[in-house]
Amino acid sequence: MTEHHSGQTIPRCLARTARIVAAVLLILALATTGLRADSKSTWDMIKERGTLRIGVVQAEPYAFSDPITKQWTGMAPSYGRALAEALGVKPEFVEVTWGTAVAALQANKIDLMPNLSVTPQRATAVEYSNAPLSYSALALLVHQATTVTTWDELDKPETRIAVSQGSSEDAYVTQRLKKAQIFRFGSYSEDLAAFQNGTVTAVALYHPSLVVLASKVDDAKIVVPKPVRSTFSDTAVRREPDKTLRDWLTTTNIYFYNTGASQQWYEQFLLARGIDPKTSPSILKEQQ
Amino acid sequence: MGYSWDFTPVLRAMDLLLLGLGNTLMLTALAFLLGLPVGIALALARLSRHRVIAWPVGLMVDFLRCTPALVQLFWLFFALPRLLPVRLSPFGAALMALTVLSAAFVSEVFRGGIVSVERTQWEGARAIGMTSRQAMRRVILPQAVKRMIPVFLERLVELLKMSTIASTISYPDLLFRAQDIAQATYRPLEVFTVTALLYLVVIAATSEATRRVERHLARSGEGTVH
Amino acid sequence: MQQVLTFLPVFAEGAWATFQLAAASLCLALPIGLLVGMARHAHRPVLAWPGRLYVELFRNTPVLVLIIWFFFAFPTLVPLEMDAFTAAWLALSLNSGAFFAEIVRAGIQSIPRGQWDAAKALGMTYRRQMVRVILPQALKRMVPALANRWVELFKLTALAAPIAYPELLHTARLIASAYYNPLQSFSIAALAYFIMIYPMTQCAFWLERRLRRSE
Repeated sequence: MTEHHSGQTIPRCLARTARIVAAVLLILALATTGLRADSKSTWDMIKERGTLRIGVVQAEPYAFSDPITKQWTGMAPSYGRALAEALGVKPEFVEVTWGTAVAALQANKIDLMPNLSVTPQRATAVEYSNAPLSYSALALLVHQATTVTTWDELDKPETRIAVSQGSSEDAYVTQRLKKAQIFRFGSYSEDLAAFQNGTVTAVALYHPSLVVLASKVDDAKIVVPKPVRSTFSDTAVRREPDKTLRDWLTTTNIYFYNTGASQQWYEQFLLARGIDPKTSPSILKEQQ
Repeated sequence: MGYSWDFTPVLRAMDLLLLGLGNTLMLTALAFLLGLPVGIALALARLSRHRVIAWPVGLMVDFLRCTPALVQLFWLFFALPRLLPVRLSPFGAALMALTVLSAAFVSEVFRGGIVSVERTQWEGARAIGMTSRQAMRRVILPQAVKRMIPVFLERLVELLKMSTIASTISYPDLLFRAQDIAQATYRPLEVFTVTALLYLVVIAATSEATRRVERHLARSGEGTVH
Repeated sequence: MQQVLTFLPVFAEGAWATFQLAAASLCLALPIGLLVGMARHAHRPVLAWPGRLYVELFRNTPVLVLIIWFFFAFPTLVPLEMDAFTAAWLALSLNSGAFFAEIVRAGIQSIPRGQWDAAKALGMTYRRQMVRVILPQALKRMVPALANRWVELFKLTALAAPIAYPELLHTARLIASAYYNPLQSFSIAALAYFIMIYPMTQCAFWLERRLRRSE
């Protein structure tokens, strides 16, 4: 091993690091040539495979998997099973998060993503069926003693709000409350845990989820800040030339919405979790 | 048709990534600095002649070294507040977890370091009339510490890598920011590749710096030779 | 307390998943480490340089970053099905492989020159020298370091939880989320890890002592 004099070691160190970085980039660049083959349409792949891969998030009431039984229940699984039955294939549930759902679609990990809130930004990356399944308002879970009525009141540094990382609530709250401290956790339960620990003083979620969360805590109430932020969620699919799947979903969603099925699935889940559906606003626009 | 790389979204968000990197470095530095005194205290407690102190501390240190850091972090952030009326912020919990992790390791190294200084040094010190405490402070500790510095510095590098666990509880470090940006730009490949390279560069540089310190110490005859 | 008993089978499944991931990673990391370690020792730069690059790259990148990269970034590059297990397995194997490579290299280097010369004098080729004389001796010296690295690897499997691989920590997280009992859940998980890992560390110490005695 040769002696190094300090005049030489600094450039040597940098040169070495630069070589490593350059080599890595070169390898990656070479690795990309002609590797992703052109794929068939999702519709054909579903029929060939015999399974429909539905994206689900551990987010009540949209989807919930009991760690012991490992069965998926909730709005998305009910919806997914109905779709699979209509197609004559088997449903397969693939767990994702709100933040990674779009990536999962793009990476062909799932065929469709139900209950994805519609945002123009998401629409640049995926396609929606344009027939929403549920409408909800963005609300806050706060302590009983808290008084807050408007979004503006919350826009100050003392506000500590938890959201689910990468969700549309995250996007809205980040952009709307520039001065507040926003904490982004991996699941609604962790948001709630942070609320119970005192790390945050509010959890921002759409009202269907808050109805479930509020039933788990004692000192909490739901507040809908004004101006009311309404949103709707829809089924998202990968962007591709063949629109068969997307167009079919438009029809199925209109069907499920207008026959009241989507509201029914929501109420069924609430009942299963021991919550009286009458305590919650409907997810159908007409009944809100 | 190959993948079409597009680094512009990442480069536009570079300032956020660098802020995240700053948070990573700050968390690591604080955990390292706090871990040293805590670790030394633990080591001395373990070396104590009173079983009542040495035994529980020993068990705790063993427990900390035999459980993954991420488990400790989740326990501190989600479970501890249910046991005691404490409120931990993500930064607080991450700092505590990494400090404790570092301290457990430091305590073992310290114990080993003190034990490794030859008996002859103790006897020599005693022979010229020093008390046990004087011997420890003026003869043993300085030698032990010089031997331990390289190991501590390696520990710093390990801690830098482990700091990524803080991203799982919403501490805005580099990895957390990367996930935010990847989810917002729908470009996970570019974002995570750039993030990995940032970590690589910082950690490789720190690693190289610690190696140079080790070589310097080795030349002066005190460190462990590689 | 009764609830805890109903969860024990699920935790056991999680522990088994942890073990599977660790064992699978070891199976890939050891051959990688052996090959790269030998390559780094070789005097031909065409072998040594990529080896050096590999070790620097996978030792200095945090494991969680590697896991996330393989799970989220890699599949957009190559048309491979990347489930959580595969992503974590690749990340852990490549990372541990880099550490094993250094252990192998150090082990080989610790064998005195005399052994190489003696083997050469007996007319052995480089390959035979390595396989029949050097490696067997070096392997004995590497065992303690390898055992320690195995313990580290086992602990690192917990980093597969953020990508929802259903190992022990993720199981605890799921149960805590579904039943709102983080104190019980994470305490059980920590205890379970300790019960699995502590004996391994004791084994590693014992191996170290035995090998030192036989030197």
